[in-house]
Amino acid sequence: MNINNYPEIKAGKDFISKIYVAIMLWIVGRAIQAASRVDKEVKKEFAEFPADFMMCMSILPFGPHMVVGKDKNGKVKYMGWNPQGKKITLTMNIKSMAAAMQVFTFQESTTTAFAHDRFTVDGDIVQGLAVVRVLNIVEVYLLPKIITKLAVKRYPKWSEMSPLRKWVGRIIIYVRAFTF
Amino acid sequence: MILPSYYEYCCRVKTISGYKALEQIPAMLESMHVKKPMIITDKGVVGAGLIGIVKKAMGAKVKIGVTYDSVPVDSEYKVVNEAAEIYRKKGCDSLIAVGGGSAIDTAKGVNILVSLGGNNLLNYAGAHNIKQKLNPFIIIPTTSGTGSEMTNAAVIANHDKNIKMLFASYFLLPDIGILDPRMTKTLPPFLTALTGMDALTHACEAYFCLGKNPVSDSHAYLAIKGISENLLHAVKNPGDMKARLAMANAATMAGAAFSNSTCGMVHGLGHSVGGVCRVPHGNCMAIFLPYGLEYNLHKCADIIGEILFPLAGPEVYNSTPKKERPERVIELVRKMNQDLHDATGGRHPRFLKEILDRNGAQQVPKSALPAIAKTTIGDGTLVYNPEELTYDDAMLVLEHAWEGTPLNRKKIKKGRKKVKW
Amino acid sequence: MQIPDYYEFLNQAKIISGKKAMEHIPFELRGYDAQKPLVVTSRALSESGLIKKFIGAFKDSAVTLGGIFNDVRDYAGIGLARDAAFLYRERGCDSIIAVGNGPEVDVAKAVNILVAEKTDDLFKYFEGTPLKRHLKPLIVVPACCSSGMEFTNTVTVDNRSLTSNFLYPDLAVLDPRMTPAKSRDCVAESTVIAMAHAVGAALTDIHSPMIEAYAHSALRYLGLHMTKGLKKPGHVETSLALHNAYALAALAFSNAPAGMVHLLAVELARATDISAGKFMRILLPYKMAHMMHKKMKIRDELFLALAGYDEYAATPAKDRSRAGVERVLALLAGLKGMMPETMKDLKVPKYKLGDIAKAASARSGKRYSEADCKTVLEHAWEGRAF
Repeated sequence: MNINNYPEIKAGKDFISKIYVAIMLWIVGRAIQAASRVDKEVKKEFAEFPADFMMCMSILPFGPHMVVGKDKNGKVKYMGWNPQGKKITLTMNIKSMAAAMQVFTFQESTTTAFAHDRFTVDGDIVQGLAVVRVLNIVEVYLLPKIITKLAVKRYPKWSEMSPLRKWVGRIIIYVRAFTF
Repeated sequence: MILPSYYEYCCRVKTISGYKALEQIPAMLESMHVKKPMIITDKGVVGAGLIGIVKKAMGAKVKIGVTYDSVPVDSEYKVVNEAAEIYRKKGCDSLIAVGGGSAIDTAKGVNILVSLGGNNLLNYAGAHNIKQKLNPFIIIPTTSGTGSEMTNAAVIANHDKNIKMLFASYFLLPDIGILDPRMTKTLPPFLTALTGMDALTHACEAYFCLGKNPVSDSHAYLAIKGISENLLHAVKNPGDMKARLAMANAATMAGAAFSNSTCGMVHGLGHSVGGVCRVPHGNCMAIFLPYGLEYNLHKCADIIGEILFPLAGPEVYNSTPKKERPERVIELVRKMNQDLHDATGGRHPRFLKEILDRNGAQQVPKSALPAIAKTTIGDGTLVYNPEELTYDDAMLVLEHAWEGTPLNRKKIKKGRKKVKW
Repeated sequence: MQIPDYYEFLNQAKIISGKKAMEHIPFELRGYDAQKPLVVTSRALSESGLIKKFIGAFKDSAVTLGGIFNDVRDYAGIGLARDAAFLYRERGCDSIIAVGNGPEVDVAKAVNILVAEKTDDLFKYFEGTPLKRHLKPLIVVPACCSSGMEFTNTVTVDNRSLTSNFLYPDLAVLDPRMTPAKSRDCVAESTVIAMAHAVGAALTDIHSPMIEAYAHSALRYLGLHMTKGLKKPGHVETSLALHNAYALAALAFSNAPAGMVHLLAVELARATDISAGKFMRILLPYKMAHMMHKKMKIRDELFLALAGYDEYAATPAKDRSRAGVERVLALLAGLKGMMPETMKDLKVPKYKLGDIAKAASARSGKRYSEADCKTVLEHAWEGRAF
């Protein structure tokens, strides 16, 4: 048989998805940083984290990545897209680019993605869950209610997050996320 | 039966069940081409004479490399290292775990070390960090509850660093799980009750939590049916081998269901009470199950209502209007706890305040609830719970479960009604 | 719950089913430290564009497909297996993915034995040499006309069969992009095979709760989706549900002793070169009628699985057994016009029935007597009620 009739096939590349997900990760990373300064609940969640906290969210196997951690002053900071050389304490991986697209185009909520085994978490699970809660709050700030309602199990009620707090927070977080 | 938009199911354990299942061990070892197994167990199991039964059933042909019986109540890092060392020294080629959760988890840890080499378990901690088939491994559970013979996870503590290491990989599954009623025959009634309710919780949570899928559903259905038909009977008639075998099967099926569909807040709360107050796992499960059902009712009433069918049988199911079925389920689970409480002379606790230690002292003081709630919201199972559970919500449930009053449903904060499977 | 005095059960395959399931294959391969699978498939599938979708699922992954061996047609022969094994070795592959149904998967399993055991002599394993260890990771992606039999522990090459627990696939990937069927005939054949196997497993006298669990889910999905699946073979969600049913039925079947319908259908297929599914369609009603005629218990669980909790509970206890049989017949009636209903229609010579009954009875290890096999066959041939 002529094996040349059965060529090897290298994995293709989907640049559009990759760029889209990379941008989304950048926005989420910056928004977490902003929310940790603005929202009291996010602040509270991170206050309990150890000083060496460094989280990396990656799309397997080649990225993109998002690194968020505490800096020397104990402030939560978006640390860029490159985990190399950083001491990562918590890894959250999405199993494939397609799964990441499902999550970042809001077709699948974070919770559903977990239930569907699309995520793997390595590190302290307590921190992992805190991050999921933070992501939910960030989503409430960043996205319109109609989308977020589908993504979280329970949209915060008026008593938990007043419209004033939400809108002021939303504006500040947007401004902070997109300016330096 | 719902078809989830995506699911995964894996339970590649050969299950062998029967009154003479233990007698199959030599043939099974031979089929895996191993000759010198190491038995891992604890002193309690040896004391109950169970190892003697296993050895007798295996006959004279199989040479057991060594029996390691120093597994503590909590599976521990140093113990794993020590057992692995002995395994190597004696030139064993396979493992047989006989016992409950901690003996099984210890054996899983030992299998990692002896198959992959080295003595640093930490290298393999986390999810999916074991990538090859481990050594031949048989599990013989001695309780009908944990379902650990069907789970791909192991928790091993490192007391020096004060951490609990979680290992998760399909390669941790044993090759064979053996269910033989002789192993649970001598289990005292109150332990039978606790472990049985643990299994019922696995099955119920597998049925209504977010990872639900067609395979876990039918396993859960059969497990619930088996437990409702046999648990009380086994508690009252410990020597009934038929009921014992049925309970062993039900617990295994519940294990297969929840390890694939995962569990929710009942386990989250249970783990935390266990962690904070050192209460046996099964105790907490029995207490929290009705609360878990109540708390999630608005999210999946139909599905919780379906549980009535295996729990009470077709006649009760049919005569109960659809709307009332979920309430009936909750009622029946509470009644089951009450019945077990009565049958064990009050040793089976119904509420948190009823949990007593060996000296009869209260084990969960009300002052511990905030600490428990705090630990709860860091528990991984919450992700799979249909409704959100924050610290305040956990406190709400804990306070009710402590007193033993039904949950005040008006106080539950309710999210979007529909669950996307 | 009915627990037998003794049983064994094993389902080796991990099932992943649903949206973007194929995109999870690279992650699953990583779990085996594998990243260069050989793909075994058929020309028809590669021309239909399905293989293109399959290849697309590997975008942005670390996986290199070692080659797409697409020479399989409707027959699995040793020549194909040797060619594919050659390709596997030349390219340094480390795992196998079969895309398609019966023959493709059989070739893939044969390749797996050849490459994992480092041998050229496949048939020595068919003649008694036991397989002793885990083979290479084998992933099965059923497409279109799969009947679920891909997930069993059997391989058939050049009409010879070998059964070993090492032949179970490691991973079953049910992806809605691959499951829609081309034609109603496809669905008819697959559903009948799944139905015969699930019913056989549910009613077997050597019963276990594990078998019941798998058969229950399989029958539940067949009960819910078979009719629609036959009307709209290309319907995405329905086809996914049906493929779940096929896989679960096959897994129940692998753990139960083979039922009479299966044994007879296989023997008939061998004698006539007509697909076994067509015979299962004909034989299943007669087998159940025969059971009732002999006053053998047809377990109520059959009705429960096909009809669901509500209908089961609403039916009086004494009617449930019969209702199960009626439900099976009603579902089979939906195949009218797609499949022949008597063996006369298939032009099976009557004189062959004796030999077939004898062979099937022997294969069952005499669990079914030759006389019983023959009675069922003859009634089915003549279309005569009991």
